[in-house]
Formats: sequence, C-alpha cells, structure tokens
Amino acid sequence: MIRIEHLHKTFSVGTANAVVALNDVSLEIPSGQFVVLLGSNGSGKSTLLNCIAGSAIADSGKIEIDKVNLTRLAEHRRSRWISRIFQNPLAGTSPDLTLLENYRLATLRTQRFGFRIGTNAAFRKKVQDEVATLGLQLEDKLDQKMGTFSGGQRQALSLLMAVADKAKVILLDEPTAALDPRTAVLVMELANRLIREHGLTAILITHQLNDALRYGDRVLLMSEGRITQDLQGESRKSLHIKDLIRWFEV
Amino acid sequence: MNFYLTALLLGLAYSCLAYGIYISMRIFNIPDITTDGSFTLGGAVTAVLTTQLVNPGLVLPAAFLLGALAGVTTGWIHTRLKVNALLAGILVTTGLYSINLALMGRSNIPLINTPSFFSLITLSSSEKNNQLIILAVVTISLLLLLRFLLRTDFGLAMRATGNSETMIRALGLNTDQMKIIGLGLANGLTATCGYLITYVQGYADINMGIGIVILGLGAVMIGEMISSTLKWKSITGQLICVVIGSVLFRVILGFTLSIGIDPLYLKLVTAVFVLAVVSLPQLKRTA
Repeated sequence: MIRIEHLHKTFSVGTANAVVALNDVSLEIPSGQFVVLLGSNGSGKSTLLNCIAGSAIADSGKIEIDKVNLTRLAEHRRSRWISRIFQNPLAGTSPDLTLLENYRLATLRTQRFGFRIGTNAAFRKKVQDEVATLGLQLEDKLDQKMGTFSGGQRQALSLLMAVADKAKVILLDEPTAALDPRTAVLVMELANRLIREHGLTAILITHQLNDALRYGDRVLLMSEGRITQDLQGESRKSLHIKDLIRWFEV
Repeated sequence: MNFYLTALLLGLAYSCLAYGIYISMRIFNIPDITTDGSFTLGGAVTAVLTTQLVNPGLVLPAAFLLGALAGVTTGWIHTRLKVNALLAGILVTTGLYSINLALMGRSNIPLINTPSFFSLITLSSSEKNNQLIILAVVTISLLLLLRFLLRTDFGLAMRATGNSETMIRALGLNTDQMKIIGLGLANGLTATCGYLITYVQGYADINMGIGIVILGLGAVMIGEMISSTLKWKSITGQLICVVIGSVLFRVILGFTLSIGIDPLYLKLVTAVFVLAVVSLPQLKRTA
C-alpha cells in the first residue's frame, strides 16, 4: 500500500519564479490498485511520481510504501519496491548493451551486483521464453544492441524488464507519448496485462483520455498541485469521456 | 626491425594506459585529465621505492593503489562536490604535481643497478625480448581480466552507468559510487602504466605525464576505428582493438621521428594526429 500524507513541493523557493508543484497532496493507494493520473501540463503529476520514485525529494509531508517511510530515501534505495517506465523509451534501457545484458541488469533490481557472469545459457533460455511472450519476434535478437530497436520495441522490453524482479509498485510516466498510435495500443495492452498478472500497484500518467477509461481501477485529476478529482468503484465505472473532457475545460 | 620492436614494446606497455582511458572516457563517458598526474605518480612511486631496493613485485600494487586513490579523489570531487569532471581532474593533477615532486625529492630519478620488474623473470637472454614477452603476458592477462570484469553483473552496471544513468539509478545503483570506482580503476591502470614505463625507460621524470592523456585517447580512438571497420563490436573485440590501437599509435609516432621530424614537435604531431582521428568521421559526413 502507498500512503502519501500532506506532501508539499515548491521549485525555485524564494525566487520570483517559485512554482508550487505539490500543494498538500494526501493519497492512499491499496495494494494491487491501478491508478490513472490525469492533469494538464504543470499540474504536478510528474512531480508526484518523481517524489514517490525519489528523483525529487518533497519539501514536507510523508510517503510510505508498505508502512516503510521513504520520504527522504535516495532514489537508488527505493528500487526494492519501485520500478519505473519513462516517457522517453531511451531512458529505461542502455543502448550500447545488448538486449540480454539489459535484461540481466533488470533482474538484479533488488539484489547486489556481484562479480559473476549472469548471462549464461540458462539465463538466455529464460529471457528467450519471456521475450517470446511479447510476440514481437525479438527472441532471436538477444545479442543485438538495445539502441538498434525501435522506440516501441524498447518500451515493450522496458515493461517486461520492469517486472523481471519482483516489484511491488510500478510508475509509468506517459509510457506511450513517444509512440505511434498502433504501437501505443500494443504497449498499453502489455502494461495492463503485466500489471494485472503480477498484481502490481500501478500509477499511470497519461494524456490519453481513452486510456484513462479503458485501463485502471481509479482515476485521479490533478490541478495546480492538488488532487481535484478522485473516482473509484461505481463512480469510476459510470465515468464517461465527456466528463473527462469537461474536467479539462474548467 | 629494431624500430618496430621498440614500437611494439612501448605499444604494449602503453596499452595499460589506453585501458585506463577506455574505462574513464568510453565506459563512463567522463573526460578524465587526472591521467597526467596519476601516470607520473605511478612513475614517481616506482622510482622512489625501487631506489630503496623494494621488490618490484611489491611496487606494482603500491603504484596501482596510489593511482586509484588519485582517481577516487577526482571522482569524489566530481560527484559529491558537483565540480565539472574536467575541472576536477585538472585540480587533482595540479595538486599531484607537487605531491610527485615531494615524493621524488628532485625532478628526475634514474634507475641504475636497481631491481626491475623485467628482471623478476628471465625468459629470454636478450633483454629486449625478455621485456617484450613479459609485457605481452601482462597485456593479455589484463585483457582477460577486463574482459571478465566487464561481462560480470557489476561490469554490466558499470557500462550502463556511462550509457543510461536514469536506468541504472532506477535499478537501485548508486551511480556516484559507480563513477568513483570507475575513475579509481582507470587511474590505477594509468599509474600501473607509469610503473611499467619507468622500468622500460630506466628513469622517472616529473614531466613524464604531460600530455599522456592524449596518447591514451589516441590509442583508444585508433582502436575504435579498427573495431568499427572490422565490425568487432563485442567487448572482447573492443579490448583487443585498444591494444592494437596502442601499438599502431606507437608505430606512427616512431615513423614520424624516423623520417626526421624534430622530437621537439612530437607533442604537436601527436595532437594534430589525434585531432585528425577524432574529426575524420565528421569530415566524411559533411564531405
């Protein structure tokens, strides 16, 4: 479970350019819930995600995952719980390493990086099987450099890699923004399947209102650093695209 | 014959430096100028300890560790104090100049009638051949060691750090720590090269490190040209090409001297040559 209490974050404090990104955000997300986070640019969505992931540190307030307080924990110490998918398909993978090597790194998210060669035959077989489930014919290209794959292929592989080592929480920041519409659908379907199969707690930031209706159990709207709409259960089910469009009009 | 033998000998000795540069510049993407200082540091420590008749086998780890310490210092200044990597390296190298001079006590220490790394084992009656065999063994061992290291889980993480820092941080690794270790390793290798060169040339000099970073970079870049021409993109292929690059660079420099160019201009020739290698792909593209 993710519990967020009275989170505040201001950028450029004390200058004329001070921007309040998070203004007293409190939120509770039960385990296994799939949350879709909406909001216009600058509403604080990404900052909220960054504060949870640790790439930004909140000014005040508290963030807990499974009752562990990680408000001030360094980003690399949070990988025990959290895996991330970035908007830029290039950010989540290492272009000069092969697919197999990238995958190997991903399986070590919660472990130590030791002095042994982990990319052995057994591991190769395992990766081959898992990559084959994508249906992208990448299983024979394990020794190809990651940088030679398309954005969609890399994003699909990033998703697979995100669940390669028992994550609890997955944070997706506009994972399909850089992809063409068809690939975007493929990647979102894959994300949805993996999140459900692994019972992950997920937060998805998106500007695709259709995706907000098609996926997830709960819809949040952020505006000027606050959560202004929070729909789950019945009210989420009766939500219509017109309602969402109206949210953005005010 | 003698000319090529010397070039091969120096090329093998300098491949240790080229590996240092390969790690800092290519694996970690950090332009590291500490090299100039840590190379001399390796030489200075070697000369001082050898004149005290310390066994060269024990001098080796001392040189490596002190070089590594210099690299760790640069890494720490760069990552913790957030100083630009180039400036951090220049600061450490500047400081090292005084330290090296203090260590040596004078600007030049000749090694005469002292033990040498190359006299530890005698495999050939000819002194030069003996050096060559030992250097070949050292280079191959180093190549195998790095080949292993870069393919381990830790090595993968090292390579990804210079490549996609966001990914590595999201995977739970402290990239700052990784860079400090990387610069330590790179400068340890550089100091080891200073150690080897001191025994090869028979003296240590306070100015032996000036411009040495360009020598290493030149070797790495020639190696890259070869590896991309031969399509040897694997780590093993790249590591082999770095050695070839180092030897070829020596041959080219030796050739420049042999056609009668004043040694005074050697550094200028080196700089122009490295510039040519660096800019070649760009010139090709725009032509």
